[in-house]
Amino acid sequence: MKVSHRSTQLWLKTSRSSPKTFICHRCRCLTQKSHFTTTRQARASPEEPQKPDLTTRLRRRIWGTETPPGQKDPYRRLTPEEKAAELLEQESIAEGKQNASQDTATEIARRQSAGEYLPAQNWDGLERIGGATGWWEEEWDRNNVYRGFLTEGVLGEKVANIEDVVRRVAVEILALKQAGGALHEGAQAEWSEGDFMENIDIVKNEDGSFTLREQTPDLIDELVELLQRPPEEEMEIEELSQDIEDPEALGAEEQRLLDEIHAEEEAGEEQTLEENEIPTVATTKTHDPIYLELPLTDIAFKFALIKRLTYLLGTRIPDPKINSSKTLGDVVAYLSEKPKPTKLAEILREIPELKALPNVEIYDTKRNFVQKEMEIGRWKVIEAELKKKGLPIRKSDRLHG
Amino acid sequence: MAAQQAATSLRGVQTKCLRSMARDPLMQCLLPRFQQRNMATESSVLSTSTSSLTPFISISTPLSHRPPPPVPQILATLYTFPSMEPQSFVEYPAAHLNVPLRRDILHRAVVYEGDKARQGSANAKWRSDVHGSGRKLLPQKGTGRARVGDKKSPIRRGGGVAHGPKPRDFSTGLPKKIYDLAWRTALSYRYRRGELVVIGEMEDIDNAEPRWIEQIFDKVNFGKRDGRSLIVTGTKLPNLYAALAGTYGVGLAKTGDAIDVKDLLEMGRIVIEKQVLDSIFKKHSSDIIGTVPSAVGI
Repeated sequence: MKVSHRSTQLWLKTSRSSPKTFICHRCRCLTQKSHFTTTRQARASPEEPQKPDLTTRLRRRIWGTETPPGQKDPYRRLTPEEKAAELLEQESIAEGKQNASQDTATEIARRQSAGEYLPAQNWDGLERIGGATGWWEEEWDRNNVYRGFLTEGVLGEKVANIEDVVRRVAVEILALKQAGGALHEGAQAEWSEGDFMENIDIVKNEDGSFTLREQTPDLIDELVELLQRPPEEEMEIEELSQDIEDPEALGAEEQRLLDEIHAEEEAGEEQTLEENEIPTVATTKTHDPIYLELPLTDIAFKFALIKRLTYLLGTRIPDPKINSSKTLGDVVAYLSEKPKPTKLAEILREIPELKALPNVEIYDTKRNFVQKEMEIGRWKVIEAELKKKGLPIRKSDRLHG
Repeated sequence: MAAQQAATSLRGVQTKCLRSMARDPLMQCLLPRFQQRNMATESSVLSTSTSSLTPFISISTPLSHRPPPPVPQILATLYTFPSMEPQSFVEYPAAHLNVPLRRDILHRAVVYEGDKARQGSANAKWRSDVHGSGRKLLPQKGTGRARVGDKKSPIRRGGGVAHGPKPRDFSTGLPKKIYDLAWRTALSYRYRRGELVVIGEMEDIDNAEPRWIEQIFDKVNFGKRDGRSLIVTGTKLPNLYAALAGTYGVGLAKTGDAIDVKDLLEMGRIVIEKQVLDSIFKKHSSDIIGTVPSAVGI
């Protein structure tokens, strides 16, 4: 039936043979060809070039590229297979982009060297200023680090054999005693190994007292000198080196002092490097264990020993242990004790009979339903099925909907 | 006469004891012998005097003429705060820091302190306290119903509470000697577990930032990871107290007069100033000072 565009008549122009049929305004509009240019059909007409829809245009503008990442239809739910495919695609784009960014990096470098201004595409590499979070950790903590007597032990956790450390400390205190100085003076002295560890022995005399015997001459005197050197000397040296800024303006004496300072600094650096690289505190030589019988009846001796050990190891020795230690061997026995494990799992793992059982596994925490199913391999199936049915999977899903 | 002389000489020794507690071994209190045979496993007799062995004493020697028995001494280390540098050893008698564990005495002391701390201010209105008139609601006889007085009766809704709580004092009594023993038992328990840290003289920290004291506590193993610590000082130190008040689950700071036995047993360790510890021992030693040596047994 021919429909007239121009007519607003309600009567349909039919062929001569059929009578006029009434068509209501609504039906007429529906059957008419649309004049609206904003509908999709109008846009999809082959006369005009196909413009991309609003969503695509927005996404292109936001991302700044012709091919923005993400789904073509962001409101559509993807199946797991489609999700995996999309992830792969995104990874390949990222790889491609990396290659692209290298090209852009060279381009940026070229432009920068040429002095051209290049606006940043993103905030990578730009300096961050301000913001409320992180100030305490970054600024305040960095500038306020507490250091006390007990904060970091000089030897720290590097001690391989505690017996050697205790023996060496006893040697130090006996040396100070022989020299006649105050026994606890050397508590914060430098720790250096080598000769002092290996070539000084503790021997028991006939009357029951203990003394030192050195393999190389003057070794005990060297040790005493090291122990009695006050730490303030090192501070003065540091201050001096800071004051001397213009070496050219120095006289002969000052130059000599500066040379000494540099030599000591280098020596100090070497020592610290050594300490960092070779962590074990152990002697290669085995000593006669008679020193374990050294009695701790002298209170001054005991105090000096405890103080030096506390400083070196960085841990407090409890008072009842100090009280009950009668000999050096008691101190060694206490310090050699392994700390009791806090978790039952750690204790169980050390039982060999349990390890031998093939059908027993030990965990730190109680296994829940999901973990048990994961081990069997059934969980992914359960999860997929629940998702398919639209049911909540975890308790939290139920609460938060 | 001889008995009077013996009595006076005994009293003289006792007063000297009160002045210098276990500092000079020659002038020590005459403790009953049975207290030396305590159940502590690690009590050492560290004699500061030259004679470490007691000479043979014949049974015929009268009690007053015998030398005082040696008092076992316990070593404690004096530290600086917060650097934890050992300064010296200090000795305390075993009757102070090596008292055997008596859980029942600690329980009694904690319950006593809890009772004492009760406010006891619960109050419910009795029929006379309830607001309302005393008019008789129904005639005594003739209604066929039970007799009824005023509307404030506890039987009625809106009436008073029968036998309801009234403000009262919940404090109980505990013999002073048992309470004092509980104090020293708690301190001894802490000492034996290595959880008593004695500080020579408490110094205030540099600033009142909570993260500063948290950092210090982490480094000297006093903090949350190590079971928290109670700091007991003689006077209130402004920075330390303010810093600890800003933390949670790290520690507590209290003055010596504000602590009790329950506080000594709560936290992971006690960091106490020496003068406060000495004042506690001075105040809570009624069961060991002034005891007459037993004439029965040796």
